[in-house]
Amino acid sequence: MLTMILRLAGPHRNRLLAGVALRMLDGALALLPVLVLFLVLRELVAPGAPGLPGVPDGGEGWTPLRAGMCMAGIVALRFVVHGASVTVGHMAGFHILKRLRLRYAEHLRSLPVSWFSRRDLGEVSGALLQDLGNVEPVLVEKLAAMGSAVTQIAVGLACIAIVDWRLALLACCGFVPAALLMWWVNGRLERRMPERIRVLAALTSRTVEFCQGIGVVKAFGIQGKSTALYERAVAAHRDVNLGLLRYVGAAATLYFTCLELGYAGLVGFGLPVPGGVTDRVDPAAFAAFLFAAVMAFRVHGPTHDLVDLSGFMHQMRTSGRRLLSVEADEPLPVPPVSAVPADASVRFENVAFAYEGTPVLRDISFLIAPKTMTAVVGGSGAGKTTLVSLLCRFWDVDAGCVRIGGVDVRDLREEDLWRHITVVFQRFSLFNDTVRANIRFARPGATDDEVVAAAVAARCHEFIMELPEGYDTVIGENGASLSGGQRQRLSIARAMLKNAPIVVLDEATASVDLDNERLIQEAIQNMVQSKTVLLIAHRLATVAAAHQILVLDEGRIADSGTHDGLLAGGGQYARLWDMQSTVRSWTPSGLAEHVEQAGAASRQAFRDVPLSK
Amino acid sequence: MEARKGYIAQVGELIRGLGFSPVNKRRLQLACAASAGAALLGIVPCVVIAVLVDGYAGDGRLGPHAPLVAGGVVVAALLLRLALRTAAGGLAHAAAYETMYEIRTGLAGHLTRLPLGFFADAATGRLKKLMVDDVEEFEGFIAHHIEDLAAALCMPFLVLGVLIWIDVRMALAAVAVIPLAMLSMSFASKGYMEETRRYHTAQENLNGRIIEFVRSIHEIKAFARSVAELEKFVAAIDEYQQVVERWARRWALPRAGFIVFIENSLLFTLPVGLWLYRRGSVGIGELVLCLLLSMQFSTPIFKVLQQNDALLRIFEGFRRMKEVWDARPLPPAISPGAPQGADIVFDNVSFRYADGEDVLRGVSFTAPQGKVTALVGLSGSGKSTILRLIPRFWDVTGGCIRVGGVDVREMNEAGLMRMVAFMFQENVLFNESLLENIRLGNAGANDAAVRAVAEQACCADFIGALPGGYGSPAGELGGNLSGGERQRVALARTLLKPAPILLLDEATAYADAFTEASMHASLARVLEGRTVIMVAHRLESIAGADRIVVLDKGTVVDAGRHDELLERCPAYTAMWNLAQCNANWNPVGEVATC
Repeated sequence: MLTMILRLAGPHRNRLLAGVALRMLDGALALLPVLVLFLVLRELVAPGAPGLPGVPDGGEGWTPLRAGMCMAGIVALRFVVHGASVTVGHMAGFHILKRLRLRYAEHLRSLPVSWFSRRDLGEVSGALLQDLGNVEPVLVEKLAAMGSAVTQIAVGLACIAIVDWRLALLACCGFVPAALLMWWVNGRLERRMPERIRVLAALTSRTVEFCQGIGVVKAFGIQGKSTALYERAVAAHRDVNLGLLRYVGAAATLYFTCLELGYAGLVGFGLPVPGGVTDRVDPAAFAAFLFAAVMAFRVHGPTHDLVDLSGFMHQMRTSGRRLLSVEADEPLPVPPVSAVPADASVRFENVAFAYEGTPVLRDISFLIAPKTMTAVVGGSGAGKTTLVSLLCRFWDVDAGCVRIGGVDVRDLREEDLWRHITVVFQRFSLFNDTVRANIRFARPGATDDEVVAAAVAARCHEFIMELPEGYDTVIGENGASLSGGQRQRLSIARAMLKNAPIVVLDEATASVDLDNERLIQEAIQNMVQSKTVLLIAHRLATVAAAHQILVLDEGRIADSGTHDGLLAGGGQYARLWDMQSTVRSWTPSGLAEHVEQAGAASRQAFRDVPLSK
Repeated sequence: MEARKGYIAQVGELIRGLGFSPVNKRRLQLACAASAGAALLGIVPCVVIAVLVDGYAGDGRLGPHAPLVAGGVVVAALLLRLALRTAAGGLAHAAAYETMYEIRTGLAGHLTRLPLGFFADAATGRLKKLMVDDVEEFEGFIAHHIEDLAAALCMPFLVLGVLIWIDVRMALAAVAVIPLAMLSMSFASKGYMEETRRYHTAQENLNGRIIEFVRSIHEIKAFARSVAELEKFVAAIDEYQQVVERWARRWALPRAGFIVFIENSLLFTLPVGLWLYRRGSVGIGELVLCLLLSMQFSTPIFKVLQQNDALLRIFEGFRRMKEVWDARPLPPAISPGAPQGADIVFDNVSFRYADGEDVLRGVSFTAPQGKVTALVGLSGSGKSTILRLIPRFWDVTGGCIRVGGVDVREMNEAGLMRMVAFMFQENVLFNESLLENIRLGNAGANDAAVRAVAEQACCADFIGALPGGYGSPAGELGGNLSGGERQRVALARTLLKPAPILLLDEATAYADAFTEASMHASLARVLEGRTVIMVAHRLESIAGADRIVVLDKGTVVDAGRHDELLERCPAYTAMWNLAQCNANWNPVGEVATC
């Protein structure tokens, strides 16, 4: 645990430890009032008893003034030490957190895109926030508080031991089994934690499913299975937690039983049994007993604190481990120096790629000449997206190679690779910042004029000028204050400003209104002027205009060529095209007979052509 | 004082607002009593020690059984205390988790009664946060805070009572540190509220930027930005750092002062007690009792104060929950009408969202039974809103909508839903087999019927290619399928529903050109005989509709068949030309002017 904390602390570990040490000192000082109290009481209760071994003897003659001065001194001393420990400790904790945030961000940035494609980004950030939230209180405060509590217990017991080891033994009767119990229970708890995390995760996904599915449930008038599943998850969450709590509750009861029996034992057996007829008790023994009883009573508080603190430590352990574990995820190998591509051509040479053991692409070879457009068509699962992912080196190929301007993408440093390629993402993210900053994100060195030029070309300028503060308008979380079409065009303006020679486009398939579609089309048209374009095509006109069409089927290139060439060849592509151009409109009454033929044609085509798989 | 009153009031409101069931209320009352009792028993060791000292100090003697009796009393008291604490914890936790269960299922029940429009604006994230995270926070309040509060309120009064009973001057000495502790805090309290607000703002901002960073990771990599170049991200980290550092610096000493004073009542009770003892005002036993009591008098208060931050979050979550509870279901029909036929009539309908301008103004048209009506218009024309008003996502703000001659507001929800099948742009699937997902449309349909409708919605091919076929699970929220595949499964489900009215909003939007063609072909056959209203942005696909309603900025411009409109409606002609232009566009072609 401590090792992990020190690893998290990194270069700030000494400050962190200094803060903890100061707080431990403060914990020891917190016991001083017990000493003063004891000295005063001894004089009153057992005057003339010899000084106790190891206890500084204040001598006789405790006046109210003297006692008050002593207490005032202790308060002043603790004020300084506690203040210093808080300043040093909190500062150290916050610095560590700052460093962790930056380091983690840097690390995420260096991971291959494939790392993220396997995960839900919302979950990644959610877990990150949760982990940071769990680690922060420990580093800032709880670790020091734990140090203080442990010190109080240890020093308190040590003081008793110095006075009389037998009394210490009695006191330890409670502490030792309690500590052992806590250690054992913590181990067990950790093993039961996954169950708790599981029911919470199940509750989360059932809740999401339930909320999203309400519409469906109502629309189909079904007594939703999702409601039943949801309620079951809520009940499971309750039952698992209550079960766990019964366990924790029993453990806590045992823990405190040990402590309290120990304390009672000290009270019951700490005094020598009065001997003889006189019932006299040796004043020194009574003084020692009094000291032990008050001290043990005093350290009772910290033992309670430990229970709460260990909960914090517990959460922190899992989170800290997770924060450190990402560092084990390897970035893709990076060449020391980037090679220089000769031109903006793209070439796949006998590329093969399998994802988690399943072959996705096999023996893919093609060339995209500079400043030409290649359209990729194929059904879902044909491997279109993977093709693009390999070009952008989200993954590395298993065999063959991908070249840009003759250079293997693996010989390019990431930032250089991205200097050559722009991907117009289907899903993109905008920053909660000004319009200008969002566009300029693509190239921080761009002048205002260049930003405006990109906005004009991406058909954004007009709506930007209608915003309350033009280019300086802040667009909200992920561009929330803009419409869908506006956001999309803004992302195109940003991509245009980057001005990379190769553009990868996934033709938007989401529904947009005609006028928005027009503007987006114009923006794209401006962007791809004299670029090398690789395009995942959904629209017939685009496909027909491409300089080269790749027909992907089950991870292979089934056919390739120009539109005319492929039509003449009479393969799958030709059949699909024929079918498509006959079916442009459909309604039952209006074009029924027309559709009847076409429908037959399409069903035929889809039976023959595995494109749709 | 003002803030304090607010705090108590808020806690009260929270306790009332959580709506404890009688059982749980009883549990919590018992827990509070047990917790207070446990706190009180905590002073027994002090009394025992005081009694022992008292007995001893007189003559240096103790009764022969005194130590054992003392030990026995301590054991009994502490074990009883332990039993009370365990009971309190068990009761409070049971109350907490039962109440959370009730809140979660209650919220779910409430949600199912809300109009569909409540869920239209991406409410899922918000609801998930409420139903999972916010409710989870209540646990701390119900299971811990309430009983801690009981102990914190009880303990000081008892201790003070005992002290006053012994000697009022002792009591005064014990509380004398409180003003000092407060004074110490007051050095920091100037601008405290503001500072706290700044802290929360900085933290919220930082969290927002971290989420943004992760969400934008593809952009950050694709545009090759380093972390240092992300000004807002770095600025948020720095800002937070500044706030907490200033906080740490400003608070270190006042906080130290507060803690040190509150922990050291002995500062005054020891000298005052000694003085009173020397004067003979208190006996030795009383003195010891006072001193020991004063040592632990502040612990429970301290514990409650430490939970302040969590409490702030809980109040926030509670406020969010109240908002959802305040959302009202649509008013039920008083005397539900029985629709005749399946005509849909919009009669001078106006509509505006709760916070906005008019979306629809005086919209009137009829979608006759058994015919296909298409809605066309540019962005902001209100097409999608019109569709959603029919199944009462929201209620109209003017005019009325009649289905089979009956105002939809005069139909009960189940009756209306039996009439209407609809498929809008959110295609939610459940994590079960595709067969069952489609069968949701009509629970009575046999497997053959499900397969037939899947074929009609062009699902058959991709389902056939899946390893599990129709038995394949759709995955969490249909995550195993692509957007286009989800859409086709959802379409099959909708088509299977035996409703006379079908509403389709961009039912084929995700399909690529090739798939869309075959979807259109088979849809044409299935729609026969139903009343259909549809929206599609590819105008070719609705050109054959029986009736096309042309919309512009929330009003009806014209309605008619395709060729009629081409002849007489300039707005439609312009849209048609634009659609042609868009359809024939390609990225590398001539820049056309439309």
